[in-house]
Amino acid sequence: MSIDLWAIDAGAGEALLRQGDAWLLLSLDAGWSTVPLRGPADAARWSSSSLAIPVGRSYEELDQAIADVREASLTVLRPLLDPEDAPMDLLPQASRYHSPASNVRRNARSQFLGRAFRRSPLPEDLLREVIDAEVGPLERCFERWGFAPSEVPALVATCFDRLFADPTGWVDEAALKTRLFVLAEELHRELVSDRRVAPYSLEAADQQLEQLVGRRLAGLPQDVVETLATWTDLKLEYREIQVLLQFSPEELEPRLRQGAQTIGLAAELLRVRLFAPGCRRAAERILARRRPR
Amino acid sequence: MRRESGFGKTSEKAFRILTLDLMKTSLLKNIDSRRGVRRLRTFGLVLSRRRALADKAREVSEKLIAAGGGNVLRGFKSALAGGKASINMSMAKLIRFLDTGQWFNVYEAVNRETGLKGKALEREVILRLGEFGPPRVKIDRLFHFPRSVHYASLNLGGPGPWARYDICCVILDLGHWTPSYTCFSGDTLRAGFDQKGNLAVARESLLERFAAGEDLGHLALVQHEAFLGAHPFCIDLGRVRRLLEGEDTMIELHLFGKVTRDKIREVRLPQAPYERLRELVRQLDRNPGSTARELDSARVFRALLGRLDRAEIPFVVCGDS
Repeated sequence: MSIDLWAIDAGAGEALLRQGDAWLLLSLDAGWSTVPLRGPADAARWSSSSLAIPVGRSYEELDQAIADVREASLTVLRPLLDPEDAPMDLLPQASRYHSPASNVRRNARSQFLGRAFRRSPLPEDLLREVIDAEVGPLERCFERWGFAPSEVPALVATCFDRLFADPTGWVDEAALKTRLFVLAEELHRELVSDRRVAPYSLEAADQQLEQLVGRRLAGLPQDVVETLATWTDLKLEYREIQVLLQFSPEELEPRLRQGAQTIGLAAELLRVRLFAPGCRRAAERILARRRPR
Repeated sequence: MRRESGFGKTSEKAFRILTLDLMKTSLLKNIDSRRGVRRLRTFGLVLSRRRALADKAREVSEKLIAAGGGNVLRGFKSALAGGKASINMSMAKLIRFLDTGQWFNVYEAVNRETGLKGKALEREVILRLGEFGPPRVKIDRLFHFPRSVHYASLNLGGPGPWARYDICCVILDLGHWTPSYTCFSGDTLRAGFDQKGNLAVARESLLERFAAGEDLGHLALVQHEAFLGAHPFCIDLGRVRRLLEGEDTMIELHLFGKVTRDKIREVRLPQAPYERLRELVRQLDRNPGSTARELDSARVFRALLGRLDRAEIPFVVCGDS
């Protein structure tokens, strides 16, 4: 009976075969032998958890199918198999970052990346992107806070150092950027307290936003507030909450911009750092108030 | 008069009103916002059924206690309390996960590759999955899952439902998703669909097996009442583990949002494949130039160990479930 190569995930060293009504998984882990699947549900589960590409080619012999799948898989996997020769730079998507960049950025990258990979939840290409994109804004940030241009590179380096030393809370690009600016802000606080300068009021901006969100939440039914209290955290994005609570951009953006200008940080940081936690706290406060005693 | 708090019809209605209102705003055209609404709707769905599940769990508990099974019940709850999330995958998939930093579901993978979003992305996923596309999409729609959902399973210390091919059991920090995850008693695809991929059971009976992560204990208790009743004095932890990590009897977890490398707490390999791989690595060391296809898995295993070492992720071997 002929055998159909239904789909292949070369990067995983796996392929789905069909022989009559039977589904078989051909797998590198199993030494290129086939494992019978229990039915279409198993095949569906495999398909939905892999980067499979549909093939639909028929073979007379199982060995021919195995030889083709093996060749395709090894082509993809070979560069990754030798740990000595396979640093992250071999990942295909990383190659575009080898284009010439400014010296500052290249130095920053090489300085921080080795350390970053160890426990980073994010792909290296994204880390490169963040470093490239954020060195400039960070420098400007410190300059706005009144540091001399000669001091700034060392301060930026300290921020990245602290960022990569503790990967807690890096969920995605936004969280990484937020953490970077939070660290910058903390570093600034440490330094301004040494210089006896009053720190800017991040707390005040936080309170204002919480009050604003609280007023809107107060008008919502109990169960919706309860859902928001449970679900709203850093994972629920600013934009989503903005829409769920029907805030118009005109209501929020000027406040965010004003807050950002006051404390010399990116408006994006305020969105991510303050808005969702503020929303959650406001929802929890309303629930506590409404709870029957 | 203020409405009383309740998760029944009130919740459904509130969500309908909220969603309808949102549909009128132009901001909802933003896909991120839709994802947020979907995620809230998933949670609304489990909240609306929460009280009924808690009542059933109470009934089961009372019955067990009346039959002298109080200690069994406490043991079962204690076993569940130590549960973690796990995803079983092949060695090469784990290498990909470690290299890219992220575990992609089918939507994320296709989006990453094609840049498609919204309906176009759904169409492409259905095309890719062929005859398996509609069941998967039906499940996602039934539970209002956003596209950021990742399927995992509850792990009680074993190698997970490894099913002879997904040999690496990746243990994840469930605390990251708590309480924002949901669970299902069994494998949604196996439980819901027949050999031809048609919905084989009533929608209601699928929903009965669906709960919020916080209610996982209630769900497990209700679904495994007979198993618990068969234990006269105390629980057998090995049997509980085999039950809840079994291919058909597992507790499926639905994690929303990204699954990233830093959430990995441990990687486990069942004893039998580990022994086989260790022997193959020995053979490879004796004959490094060999092109025998059996040794491919040894090369991948060695590369995987290197990656885990670099990322400082504990790698352990454990007995089969």
